[in-house]
Amino acid sequence: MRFDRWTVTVAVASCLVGSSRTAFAQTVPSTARDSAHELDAADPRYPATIPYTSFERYAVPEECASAAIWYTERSRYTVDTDTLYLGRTGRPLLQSTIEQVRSCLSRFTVESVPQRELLGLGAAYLAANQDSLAAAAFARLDQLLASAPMLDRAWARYQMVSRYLSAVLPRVEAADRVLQSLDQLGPSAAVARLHGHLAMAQLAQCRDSVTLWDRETRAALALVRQMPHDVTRDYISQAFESYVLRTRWFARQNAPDSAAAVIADAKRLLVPLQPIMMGKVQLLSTWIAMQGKPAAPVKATRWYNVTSSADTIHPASGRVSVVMFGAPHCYRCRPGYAVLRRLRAAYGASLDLVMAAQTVGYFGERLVSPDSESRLIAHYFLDQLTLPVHLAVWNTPMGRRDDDHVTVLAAPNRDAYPMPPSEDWVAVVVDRDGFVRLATEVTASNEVLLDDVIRETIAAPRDSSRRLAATVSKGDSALTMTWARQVITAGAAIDSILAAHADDPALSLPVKTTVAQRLVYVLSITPDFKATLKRLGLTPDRFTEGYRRLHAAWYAKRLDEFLRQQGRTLLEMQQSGDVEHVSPEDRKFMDEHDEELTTLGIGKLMS
Amino acid sequence: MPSGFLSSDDCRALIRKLATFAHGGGTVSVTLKSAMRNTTSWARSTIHENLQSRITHYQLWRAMPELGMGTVDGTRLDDAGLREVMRNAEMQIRLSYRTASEPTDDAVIPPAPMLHPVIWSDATYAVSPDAIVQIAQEMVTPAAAAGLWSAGTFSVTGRGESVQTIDVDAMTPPELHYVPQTEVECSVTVRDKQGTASGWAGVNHYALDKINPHDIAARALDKCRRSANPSTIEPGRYTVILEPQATHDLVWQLMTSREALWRPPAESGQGPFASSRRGRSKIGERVLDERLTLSSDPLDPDGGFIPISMAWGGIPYRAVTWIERGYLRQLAYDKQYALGALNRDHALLNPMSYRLAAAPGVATQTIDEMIATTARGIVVTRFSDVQVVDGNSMLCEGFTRDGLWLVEHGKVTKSLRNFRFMESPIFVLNNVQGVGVSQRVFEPGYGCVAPAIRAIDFNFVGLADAV
Repeated sequence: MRFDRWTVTVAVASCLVGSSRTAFAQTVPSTARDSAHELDAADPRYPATIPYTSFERYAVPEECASAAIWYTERSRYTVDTDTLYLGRTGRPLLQSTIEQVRSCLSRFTVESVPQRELLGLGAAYLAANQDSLAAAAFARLDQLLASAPMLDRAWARYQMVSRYLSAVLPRVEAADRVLQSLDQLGPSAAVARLHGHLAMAQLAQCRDSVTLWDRETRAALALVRQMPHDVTRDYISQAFESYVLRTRWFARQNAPDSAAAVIADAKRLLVPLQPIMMGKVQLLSTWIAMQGKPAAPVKATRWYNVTSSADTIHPASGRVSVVMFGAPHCYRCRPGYAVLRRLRAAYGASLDLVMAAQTVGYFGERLVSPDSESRLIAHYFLDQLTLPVHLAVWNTPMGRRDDDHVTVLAAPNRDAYPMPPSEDWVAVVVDRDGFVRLATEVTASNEVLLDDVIRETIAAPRDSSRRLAATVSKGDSALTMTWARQVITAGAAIDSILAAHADDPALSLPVKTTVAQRLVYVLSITPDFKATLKRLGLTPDRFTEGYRRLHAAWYAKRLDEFLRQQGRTLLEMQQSGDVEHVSPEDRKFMDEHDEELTTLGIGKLMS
Repeated sequence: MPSGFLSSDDCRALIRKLATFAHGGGTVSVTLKSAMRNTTSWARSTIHENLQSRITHYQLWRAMPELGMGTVDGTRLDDAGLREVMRNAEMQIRLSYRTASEPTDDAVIPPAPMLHPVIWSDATYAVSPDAIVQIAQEMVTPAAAAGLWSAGTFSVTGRGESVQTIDVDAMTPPELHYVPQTEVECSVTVRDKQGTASGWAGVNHYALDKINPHDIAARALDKCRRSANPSTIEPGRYTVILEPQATHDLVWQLMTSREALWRPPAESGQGPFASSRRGRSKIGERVLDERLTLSSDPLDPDGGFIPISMAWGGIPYRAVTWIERGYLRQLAYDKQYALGALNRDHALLNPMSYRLAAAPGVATQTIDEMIATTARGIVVTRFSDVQVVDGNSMLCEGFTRDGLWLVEHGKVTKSLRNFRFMESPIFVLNNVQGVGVSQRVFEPGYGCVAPAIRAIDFNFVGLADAV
């Protein structure tokens, strides 16, 4: 008997197909939101029946189910293109569709189909809610394989687990029974067992069933550690996925240190087997890098959908926030937008939803100015998609490399919230004390997890002692705040010096920028300030870097003013090189006035 | 105005009719290609096919405000067919994610001006099918008279390609870009009846008076005669004198590879022009011999081509120098890359038509001069079955074909059995010892101009039995 390995991925998709609460479900109680999540037949926008073409043309039983599911998804998708999300309790097929599947299946019986069709027949019976017939199909397959090699039997049982879990409404208990029988085949069936436990762990993650998730990831990792290295190398993707799921479980449990330990273990075991895994391990690290650390304020050139200037400090102290990074061109983000709407409906005013976006220089198919792009981004998110979020748009200052490629000069939100590249659909949950609780993708398969974490975070009281404990344990959180205040003070002083010279025609923008940077440097090496830095446990380099980031905002603001004064666009400035390069005249000026300006700056700052 | 395929008025009317089937505002953009081709083919010195074919193909790009875009191909010109194409495109939009759109106060950057190359010849299009048969017969006769077998094809094609965008609400008739083109393809292989000798010659051009079919037939016949009784020599690294077609067969891999003259993959570390510096291409670095320049220009008198890209929604091609005196100057990119990575509005597309030539001021050599100055080398007529086996180095494998000769002490001494080779055009074009005058080569549908090249250390890895 031959099985195709592609079915490994079936279980991964299972949580996109639906879920149901069982004895294995997470103990977090169901809430009223469940009804809001049920988007199936109760939604009047969806048709009561789906106009199928004839099922007669389907020659094998599995097609009866897969066609029905495909038609159903397409029908739903036509109505609501933003999301294919199926809710916490799943979205079963319409009764009329189930009848179609049963009619299609009536041409087949467990006894009459060949062995190769039994798995598909079982899957189709599950789609038709005929579980006993599905069990009979799988039992017959097991029976036919009784004398087959053990590896074939093991793989067949994993396939059964996969079919149970990838059903429209996953049958977790039945899958677990088969998985137990698979485990009884012993160490030589380790590969099939690993696949089975991974499938179960993935479903547990989708349902946020922490007990099951814990059990299955432990089992999967135990198998990975027992397997000979040659076998691990052959199944390194599955081995790594085991570590990923275990890491995410610790992150879910708010234990970033334990998650880091799992990642270190993955690095120790997997990277020697396949060096390319290093990149994946590092990527995994970025997911937990923020967790447990103070969340940086979101920077914006302009805020939209805020009530006042005071409403532009997010994440706001004392409130639970979800910070999401979006972009109009991010197709993968879009199912997540529906998640945001549901979160708003569920939590109302007790949750802040903050969308951080940044300009990229174009919108759709056109180059646009930063201000236009900012407005277009706001129009898209707030008017077209009607997302219930505070929107922060950062006008990204751009430079150009010698080969004409544009470069981002400052991206404070990306710097403050380091995340895997291009992972625009990441959401960061921030607790009331301003600490990152969880960073995760906003996808349909993560919504239950995200929902549960947010609910727990909202329910948790503020804990000032926790903040103090974090400060003591980390050693620098409080110092960081002090340092930030010092930097801001110094920055304001430097800005005031520059403002005093704002009307000086000899001081062009590049000169001002360069002078400001020099003042920062000089300031950082003066004896008094060095002592301050030492007291704060900071190095001059770190201070300079901190100011550079703060200064980026100043630079962007001044650049904007300068462009308005000049009546020129950023593109023109970049093309002419005015943004990046200091002209010979400016250079000469700086050389002549360097000492004077520096002395002036130090004197004012020291006073 | 051409007849036999769609004229500009026909195209305008067709696109307008297609737009009337649109619902829901937005724009309808259509690229339309229509052609009529008369072909005469022969084998074993007997004409076996005289064919006249007409092709019309169009691609619809339907954009609806705040919804998205759908793209559908079509060939049916009747109302029902046009309506179905429009319906499919609009269905695609409804099934896609919404896109953001809103009028902005930013000035619209006008598209690059359309170039108008000379690629149409009334006299060529006027050649009748009977005349084509006559020319073909005249090409067959010398080989038949010599007791050899001739096989080949001679065709004349007239085509018109057009692009237009219509605002569905206004139904304004904006400018229709319509470019007509004629193309003559001529390719002849002459073989002996024992199957031991073969010669080939061929070229395509926009006008019949640009090529000489009788000369092409004579060259193929001559090569066949001279390639009889081939000798066998050991495979290995040899100095080669590549005739223009052989040069083209290698350079074509460079032009058509999605990893070579394409900037996004180069900046992500793929292809021969990826720099060792992360996120960078080799633009500005020397990549070929400094005597060579590689360019594409729709107005090239020998390598002109239709200046709009049908595959990219009618985006105009413009003149570009890819490699100048061996230094990489440009790599192609699409509009999405242009917007995001360069903050520019216009794509720079690779038309695949090209001119590889000696840089201005570089002395050229004839093939005879190259032979006369070669102590030991091999003259290659052309390559066949060339495939890229490693995209990063552009390492290719393939076979020599239809004429291979050994050069010893400045003279062609004997014909050789064919070789299998394993070589990269990048390596070859860095091992150049001499460059000839560039001339039009055979690549139907494209305008390719390549020189003869003498290069050292060409890697022949095995003998090939095929003739």
